[in-house]
Amino acid sequence: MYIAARSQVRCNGAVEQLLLETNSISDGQTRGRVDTMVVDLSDFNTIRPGVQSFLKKETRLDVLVHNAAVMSAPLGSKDKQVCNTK
Amino acid sequence: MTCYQGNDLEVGTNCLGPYLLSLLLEPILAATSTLPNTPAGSVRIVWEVAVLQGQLHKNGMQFEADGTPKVLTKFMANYMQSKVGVAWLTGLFADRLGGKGVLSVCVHPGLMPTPLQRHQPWFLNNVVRPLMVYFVPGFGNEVWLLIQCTDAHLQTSDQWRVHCALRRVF
Repeated sequence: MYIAARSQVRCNGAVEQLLLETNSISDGQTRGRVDTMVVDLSDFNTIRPGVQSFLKKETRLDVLVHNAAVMSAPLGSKDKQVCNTK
Repeated sequence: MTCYQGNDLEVGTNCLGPYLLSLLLEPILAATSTLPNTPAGSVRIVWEVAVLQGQLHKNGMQFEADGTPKVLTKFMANYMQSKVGVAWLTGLFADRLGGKGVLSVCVHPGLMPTPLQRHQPWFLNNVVRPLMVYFVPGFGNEVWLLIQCTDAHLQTSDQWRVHCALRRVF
C-alpha cells in the first residue's frame, strides 16, 4: 500500500498513524508493506515525478483511490499551474 | 513563454490533478488487470463525490466563454461543482478503461470530520466539526474499504452504476 501526500513529512505522519492504529490488530505475520509517494495535486509539476518513482519500484497497481480534496478555499485561491512554456 | 493565472484551486486539486495522475497510472492499472493472479473486476480507480451535489445547477458545471469552469462564490457551490467534475471523470475513465479490465467507480463516503473542513467558517470548523463524531453515522472508513475490496457482482463499471442506483432506491 502506498500513501501519497504533499510532502515526505506528511507521508511519514500518515504511515506512523496507520501503523499505530493497526499494530494491535495485526498478527505480525500477514502485515502488508507501506510505502510513500510525494505528490501535490495542486502542482502538476510534482505528479509525473511521483508516478515515475512509483513505477520504478512497483510492477502492479490494483486500486487507485482519489481521496484528496480542497473545500471552501478562500475566494480567488489558485493552484500552482502558472506558466506554459511555448 | 506565456503565463496564465493558475487554475481555480478546488477544480485544480479535486479534478485536474487527479485526472493527470490517473492518465499517468493508466498503463500500470491496465497491465495489472491482465496478470494471471488478478481476479476479474478487482482493479479499479475509486473517486470521491458528494451527494450534496444534487443541489447544483441543472447542467452540473457552469463554464466561461473560454471553456474554463466558472468560479462559483456561493457557500460550498464551487466545491460541489468540482465534485460534479469528479463524477464526470469517473465516467470518462470507466469508458476509457472498461475494455482493459479496469473499473472506475465513485463513492460518497458520508459526512466525516476531517481537515477538509479547515477552510470553512469558524463555527463549522471549530464547533460542528468536533461534534460530528456524535451525530453522523461515521461509516466513512468502512465505505472506503468496501468500495476498494468488494467483488459483489461488479465486473464492469456499468454494473457498479446499477448497483449504486439500486442502493439509493432501497
